[in-house]
Amino acid sequence: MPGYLRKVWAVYAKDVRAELRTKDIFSAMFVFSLLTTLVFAFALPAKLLDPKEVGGIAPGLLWVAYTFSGVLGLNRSFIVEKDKGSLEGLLLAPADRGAIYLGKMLSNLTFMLLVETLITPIFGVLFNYSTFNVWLIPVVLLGTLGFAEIGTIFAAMAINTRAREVLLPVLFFPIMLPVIIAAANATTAVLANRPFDEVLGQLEFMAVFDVIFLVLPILLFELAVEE
Amino acid sequence: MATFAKYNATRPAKTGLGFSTIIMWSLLVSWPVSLLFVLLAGDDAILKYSQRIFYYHLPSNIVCFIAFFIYFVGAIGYWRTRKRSWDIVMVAGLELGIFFSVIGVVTGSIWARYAWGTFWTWDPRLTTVSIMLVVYISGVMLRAAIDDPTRKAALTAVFGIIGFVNVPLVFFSTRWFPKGQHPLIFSETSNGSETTIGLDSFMYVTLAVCSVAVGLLFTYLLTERMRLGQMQDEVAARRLALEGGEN
Repeated sequence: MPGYLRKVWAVYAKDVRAELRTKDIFSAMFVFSLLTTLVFAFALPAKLLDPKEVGGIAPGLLWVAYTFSGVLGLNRSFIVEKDKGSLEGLLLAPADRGAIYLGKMLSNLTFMLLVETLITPIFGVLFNYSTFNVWLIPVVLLGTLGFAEIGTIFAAMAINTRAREVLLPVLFFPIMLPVIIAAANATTAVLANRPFDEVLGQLEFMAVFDVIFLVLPILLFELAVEE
Repeated sequence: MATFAKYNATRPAKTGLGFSTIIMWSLLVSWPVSLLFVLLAGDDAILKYSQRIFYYHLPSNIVCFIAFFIYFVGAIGYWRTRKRSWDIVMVAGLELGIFFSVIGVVTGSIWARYAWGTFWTWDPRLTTVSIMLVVYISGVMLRAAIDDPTRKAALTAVFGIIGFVNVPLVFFSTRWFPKGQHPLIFSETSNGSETTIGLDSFMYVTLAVCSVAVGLLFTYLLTERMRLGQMQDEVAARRLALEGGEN
């Protein structure tokens, strides 16, 4: 379906272009994840940040920072559309709603991955914890893909409610818990250089989750944004 | 409002043996009987008296899964047909599922306090139920934040499908949970599931009687909740008609 893919690309390119001009979403996400990391560093007792101990908590904190900044970005991506009235325009476009969803999802994924790429080394420096490992890439990719998939459809739903951006985390976190569990465990295993078998099961799980929640929202997005 | 027309017809007042009257009377009979069975059933060899709560715990948990499944079916139905009546099914399943899973969690915690020595542990099953509960509570919050009935139904349906598909994934994800994070005091086994209690034949009968009692309660609440949903729609439709008349 080259026509379908072209529509996905059009929505994606529009989002990226708008972001390149305003840098709204990216800067908010990046600064917020930086602040989250700093709050962790100050809030936790120094003995937990000891190089011997930090391996037990750092992966979890890293994923909390990812999710929090992710929610911020997901909300922004639809609030901007809604407030400028461009959401209606987007929905009026002669494109399958699934294609619009995919475009938005991919742009959200891009922004989240970009922020994660920047924040991970900073996190490693602040926590005296080596986050450099090639196998971290598939873990972060699969986990973030899950975030973007569920987050995009929920953000589109939340924006049409009275509570607006408050509602997204409430809907988003419980559904994301399986991915957070798997991703945090996989990250712990990867960064502790444990045998690859341990990581593989979690990668497979995240892949299954990602496939299911790629297909479902494409089908359901029309219902979610229907007037 | 054509969508409300279906409920506008005045139903005849219920007299004699309606479905819900039958269920209500069977409830009034079955609950005392189930309590009698629970008291008569033999003590568990190890857990003694505390094991009796299990007769209500297991049926409540089964029923909560049935309720969430009804919500899921309603969501699929709404998605395919956009019929308002499916929304009534969805909200009944959602609310009753939460109600019975809270009963399941509370009875389970009380039992666990005696059996394991702690109210709560991050055992895969407990984790799954607690996450499921949180997911569906957020579904109620979603509903509460929407005014427009059509949008409310649509978003409830989307959430119901995604939430239900998520449940097996949650259960699957818990197999990486670190074991022994909390002290577990098991008497003989340590696999952390409540089915390690052996039941004798009278206990099975008791379980069956209690399942019927809980099942009847569920059926009664479900029919009443759906009737309430229809009445709410009817009220909304009449209010709309009155307001339209004043203008």
